Amino acid sequence: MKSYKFLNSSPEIMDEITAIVKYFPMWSLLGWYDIKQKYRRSLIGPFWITISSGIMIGTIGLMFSKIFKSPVGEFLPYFAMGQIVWLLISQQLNDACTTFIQYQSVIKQISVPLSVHVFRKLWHNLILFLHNFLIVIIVLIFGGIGFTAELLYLIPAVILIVTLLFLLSVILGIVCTRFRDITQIVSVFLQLIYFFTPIFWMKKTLSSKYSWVTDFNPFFHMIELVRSPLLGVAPAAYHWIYILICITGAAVIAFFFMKRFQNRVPYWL
Amino acid sequence: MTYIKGENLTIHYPIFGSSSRSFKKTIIRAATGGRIASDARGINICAIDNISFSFTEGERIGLVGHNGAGKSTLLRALAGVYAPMGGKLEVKGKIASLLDFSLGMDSEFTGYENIFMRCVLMGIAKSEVYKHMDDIIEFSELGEYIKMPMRTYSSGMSLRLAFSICTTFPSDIILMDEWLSIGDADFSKKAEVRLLEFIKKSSILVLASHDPEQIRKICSRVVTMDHGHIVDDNKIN
Repeated sequence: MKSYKFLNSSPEIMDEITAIVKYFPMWSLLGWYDIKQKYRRSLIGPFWITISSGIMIGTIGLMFSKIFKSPVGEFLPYFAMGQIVWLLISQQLNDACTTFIQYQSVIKQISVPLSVHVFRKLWHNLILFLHNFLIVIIVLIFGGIGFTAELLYLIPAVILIVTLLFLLSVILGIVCTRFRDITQIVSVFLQLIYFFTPIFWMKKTLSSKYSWVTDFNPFFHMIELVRSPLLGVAPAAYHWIYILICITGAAVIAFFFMKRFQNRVPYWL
Repeated sequence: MTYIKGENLTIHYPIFGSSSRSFKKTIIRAATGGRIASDARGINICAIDNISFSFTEGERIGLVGHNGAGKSTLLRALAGVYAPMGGKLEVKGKIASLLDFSLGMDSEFTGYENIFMRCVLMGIAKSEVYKHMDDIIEFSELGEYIKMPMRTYSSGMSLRLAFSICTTFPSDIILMDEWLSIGDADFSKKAEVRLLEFIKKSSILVLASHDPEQIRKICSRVVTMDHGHIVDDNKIN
């Protein structure tokens, strides 16, 4: 709530980035309170997320390893790591569509850059991801993978994925506030993507004729970037390149949308 | 130097029915080369129509006008929520937007937690909140209830807490939608004193109200709006 000047000007890119730093106390507290609110009066709180993902991963992992006739020791860790990354991606993109609509009471009362609201939601989902990460640690210990030096690749991988998710969320948030139908389209699309992405099936089982299904699928590259270090393998170079290209593309669109429509969003709510 | 200056300020809302907001309509519109554009473009409501004004330090502005005259839209524009569609608007100074006292507060949380939630939305640092915590709790007269979830509060208690928080941190510009009277007669008097004190510390107050009595008591200038225009602008003593 600073001084400002409206000369029909649109926000600058740098303002958006500094806003995230400047409003850190706001999005971090509110994102955390969103979780606290959801699990108020529950004994173990957000650890229900861990339990429900754990049960799902355990049962489906065992079942599919039998169906696909692959050894449990290989399939279960593969599925567990991929599934947990997927949960973050799909949850965040689904939530992104309704972020501004959900926080409209705030947006319509005080002037805060939109990226702060996006980050509040992203932070919320990252906290849930950290709860799920407990499963990853259990799998690392008992799955026979152990803690390898490759785990260090996780740091850049997670930073890249969070960046990409943030940019995509800005785009989806703006578009879905204007056109409410897109929210439904996104959720159907994400359900489909789940089946077309090697999460509960392995890329090597796909005949090379159909390898385009994964090659051009950004979600495959996103998941692979986080999954391989968890399985003790350094991610291949082309995953990094692909994700960097995606980030560049998403950044151009996100900043264009931000510049063009940031001021319009309160009117659409 | 605190001031608010509007020049040819214009704000119109697009009104989306369920029809024009749909993606289908936009696609069809693109595909049909704009033949049905008159339907799909939707309706615009001109809430603020080309107004110019200047509020300077020390002024207590009362915004009057019947429902839909554009008072609330103007307040939101001053709060920085609605960007001008035309003309320009300059606001210099720290703003306290009291359009909704209990913004961001949640009934599942304790009074204590709600103080932090409300304050973070006002852009107040945690250290500041701790410093004024006792004052907020004391004025709200909640006592031990501050540790209870807000759902256990009566509506008067919640409002008292929200009011205490909002009037603790002084600002240069105060925006208010309707004067507020809360609680029983005793508390109401106490609250009025605090609110007047809070306003005294600010340099500009913009208060939208339907109550001419209240406006006369507090304001030094009355701006009358009608259909998005300023129709009258008078200084009063």
